[in-house]
Amino acid sequence: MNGHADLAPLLGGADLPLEDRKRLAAHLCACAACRAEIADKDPSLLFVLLAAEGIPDGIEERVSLAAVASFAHERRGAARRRIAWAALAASLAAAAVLGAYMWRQAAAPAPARMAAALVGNGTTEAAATPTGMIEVLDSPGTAEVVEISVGDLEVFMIFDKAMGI
Amino acid sequence: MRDEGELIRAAAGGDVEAAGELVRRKREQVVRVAYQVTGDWEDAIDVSQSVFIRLWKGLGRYDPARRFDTWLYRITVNAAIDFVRSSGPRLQPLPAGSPEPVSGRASTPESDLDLLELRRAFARLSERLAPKQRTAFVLHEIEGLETAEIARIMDVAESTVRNHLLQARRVLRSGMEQEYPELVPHSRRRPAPDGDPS
Repeated sequence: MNGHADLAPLLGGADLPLEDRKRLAAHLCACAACRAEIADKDPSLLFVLLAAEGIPDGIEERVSLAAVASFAHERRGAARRRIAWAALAASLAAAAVLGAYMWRQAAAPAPARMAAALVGNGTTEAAATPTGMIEVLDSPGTAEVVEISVGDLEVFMIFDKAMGI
Repeated sequence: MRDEGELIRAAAGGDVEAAGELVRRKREQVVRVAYQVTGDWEDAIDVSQSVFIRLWKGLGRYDPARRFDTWLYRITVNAAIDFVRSSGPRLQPLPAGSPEPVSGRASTPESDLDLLELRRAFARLSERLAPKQRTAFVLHEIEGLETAEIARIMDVAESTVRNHLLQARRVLRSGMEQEYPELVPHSRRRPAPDGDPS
């Protein structure tokens, strides 16, 4: 040992935290005697001195700007995905309601269907009423509120116009 | 000052300010490791950007029981290794217009080592290392991480990390002695076969 710095952790291969490593690297940059001592043990240890390198001006700021921009982009993407899933779920729910209604009609006893057919034979006003209806109730901003009625069932749905449904 | 766990939770919930603060705290670690592995500041910026994109995508899945820095190091190392592999082998003389590293001291030929020269030597010699050997060497010898943590970052056994380090040191030692004797102080230089000390 030349007495300038404690090189033992490097020479012994022990772990040395980054801050201590930076201090030691700064000393090694300026002290040929200490460099000779570690190079004598292993020249690859000289690369420890690279811990003393600083980051050039402006690089961290560039990374920050890009990182925050990518965060905002990711957030917008996540919001779009959430709306798309909500719309898909609502559409599936509406389809299920419609399907259930159709199934109930189809599964109704034959006399009932016959009675309905007889009633619907242009003899009453009720029979002339349409059995299904889709109506846009409101269109605020980017959303569209739609009412879907099937028989006596009513479903209200909100669509995102940007989705082009 | 908000603690790290709180920042991570807030950022995962979409808080832009929390994300910005997280970036400010971690960007140095990310950029430095990316630079040590790629050897080029512009490449380090590209790698860092992809690191934060990966971070935001995976933040919701982050397990708070694990150390955040280890997870972030892992993302950084994987992104840097992917980058090095995709860009293929190349010799890296530092371009004339590249920013000057800040060594914080003026060089005097008698005693100070030229960090730029050492960086050139490392960039050239580390081309001979497999990406994982280079990464293990950088994380241990330059970043000062313990082998156990490096093993967690690289998702390998600690013995594998020690083996990577051993191989990396061997290759770099031999390269330094053969190609960069001017960087190795006198005590290490081998005497010429005919006894000429020059």
